[in-house]
Amino acid sequence: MSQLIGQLRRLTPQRKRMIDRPAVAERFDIGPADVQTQWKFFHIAWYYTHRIYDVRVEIFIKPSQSNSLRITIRTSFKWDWYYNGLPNMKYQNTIIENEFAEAFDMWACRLIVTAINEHWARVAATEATGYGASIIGCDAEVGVEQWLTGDQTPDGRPGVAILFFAFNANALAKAVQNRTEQSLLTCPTTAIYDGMPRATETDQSTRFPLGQNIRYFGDGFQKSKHLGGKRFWRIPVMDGECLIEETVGSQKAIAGGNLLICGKDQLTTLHAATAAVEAIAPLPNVITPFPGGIARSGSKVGSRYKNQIASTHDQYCPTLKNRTHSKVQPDITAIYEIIINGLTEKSITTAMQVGIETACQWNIAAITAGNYQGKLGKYQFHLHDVMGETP
Amino acid sequence: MSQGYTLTWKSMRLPMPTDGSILTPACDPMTATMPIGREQIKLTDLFEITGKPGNTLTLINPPKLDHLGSQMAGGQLIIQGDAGDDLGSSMAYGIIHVTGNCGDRVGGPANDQPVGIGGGEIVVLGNAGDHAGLLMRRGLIAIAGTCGKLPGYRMFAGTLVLGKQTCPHTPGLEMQRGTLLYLDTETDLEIKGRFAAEGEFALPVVRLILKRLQELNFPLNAHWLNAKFKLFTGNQTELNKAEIWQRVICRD
Repeated sequence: MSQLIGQLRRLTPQRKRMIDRPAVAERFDIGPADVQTQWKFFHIAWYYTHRIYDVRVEIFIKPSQSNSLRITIRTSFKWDWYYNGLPNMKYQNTIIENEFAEAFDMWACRLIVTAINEHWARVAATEATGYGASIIGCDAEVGVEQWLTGDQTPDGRPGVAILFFAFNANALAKAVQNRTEQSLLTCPTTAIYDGMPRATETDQSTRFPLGQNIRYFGDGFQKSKHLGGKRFWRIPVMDGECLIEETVGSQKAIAGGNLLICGKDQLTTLHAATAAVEAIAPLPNVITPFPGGIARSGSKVGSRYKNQIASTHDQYCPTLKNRTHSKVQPDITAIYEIIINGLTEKSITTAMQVGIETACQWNIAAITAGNYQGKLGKYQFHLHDVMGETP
Repeated sequence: MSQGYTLTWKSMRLPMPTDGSILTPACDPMTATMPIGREQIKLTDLFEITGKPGNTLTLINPPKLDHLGSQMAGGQLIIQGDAGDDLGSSMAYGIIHVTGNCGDRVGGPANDQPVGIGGGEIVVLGNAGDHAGLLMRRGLIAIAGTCGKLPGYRMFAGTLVLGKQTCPHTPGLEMQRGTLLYLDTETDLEIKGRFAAEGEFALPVVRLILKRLQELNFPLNAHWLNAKFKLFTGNQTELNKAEIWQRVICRD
């Protein structure tokens, strides 16, 4: 042990430079002779300050499989130390880990869908948002942004605002048109309006045709109505007409804000996650596109299998604590992820904050966030920043 | 509301029908002139002018000037009083709001134009004369009071909303496309042989029109949004792509 610490102290700057960002874990297993049975967990850290590199070295020692101790040595550079090295904060009785959610650019548009009553507005929303969880396999990430009363809709009927997210404007246009044709045009009494009327042709926003393309379903009997500077297409259908706005605005947006709710039992954790999603639901400009707003199958990029572009995030699987570089604390048995897509950084930050505050009321063990070490997305939502406590 | 000039008429009597087409939100009333007879009279001599340049032009108690808002291309023209014939003729964009009555051919063609209003919105809170929406191409005309003969005559398209009708009038004669919307339930539509009844509907497009009228401060009962409207389609002597809606009394 002392030799090991001595080696660490003798780390040269060159050696430090060779250490991969953001962290490298080297693992040593010590045999039964060295087992100190009274040790549950031991953590020691040194901070080496260099002119250029500020390196932190940590040694974690904890019981591993039977009759052995697991010693993990982690080194990290200053920027990593800045965010990950500082102590976790506590909100109520919950540990808020010093992690960040990594998010990336997407394109988004909003449709306002109205129907004769709330029931059919809900049916329309259910259909339009179906199979819209993850962009990994779906054409778009889709979710209900807000339920609208008659005062908030263009035609005075109850409705719903639905947000669609896709990788680029063309993919978004295709997904929205397909979903409108198959899910909304078919749904009784619906009318479809643009929810981003201010979007114009710029770098940050654009408009794409919707009613302009779908009108051909009218087979020559379609009509248009120009009102208040907007054109609407009236497609005759068997219960009257389906009204669809000619074009729809879209803008650059952000997807991938997330929270990992870590609990000691599955049911409480699920309740906490559900409550967090319900608290996020009324907020404008954000959606939680996964089933019930929650994902249990958090994924990492890539797999050991060739054709698999994403695979289970083993570091967060509670049943794999001893088989992988687990990030799960020993007493955690369930983790639920809330993925948040939003139109602006601020809206995602607000949603994450509301989600954390609500989940913490359920006395869960910890909240953390998923990321790809900053390699994938350009947005980072640090949990401590979100909670207003910048390290 | 954006800023603009307010022109108050100086109680001068006009000897003959006068062309007021110069009076659009784009005009500069400090320098503009208006033809009266054979003379060009400065607006400053005819009106008391207050306010600053802007998108809105407000006329207070003007005489019945013809061609007000003619070929208007934007902004808002508010007439607190009556307007003469050819209100908003061949206008392209913008809003005209008249608190009083207006004359014949509201939204009709300007003198040198083949078609009437091509865009924009005209709201008349009083009555209108004959041939409302003559040769209308696009846009919205809403008349809260009564109107004269042949509303929607030779309409190409667009939306004409009529409050009520008290005289025989034959709506939608030679109408090609577009929408005539009657808010009055009692009006006897003289459309036999040209338009056919399709039934009673409560479609979003009518609600959209009514909501837009509410935004334009058109007098509407809120419960009309939920009312059913009787649909007549025609014109069977023309393209058969026009429609007339008439509000139905709610039975509940």
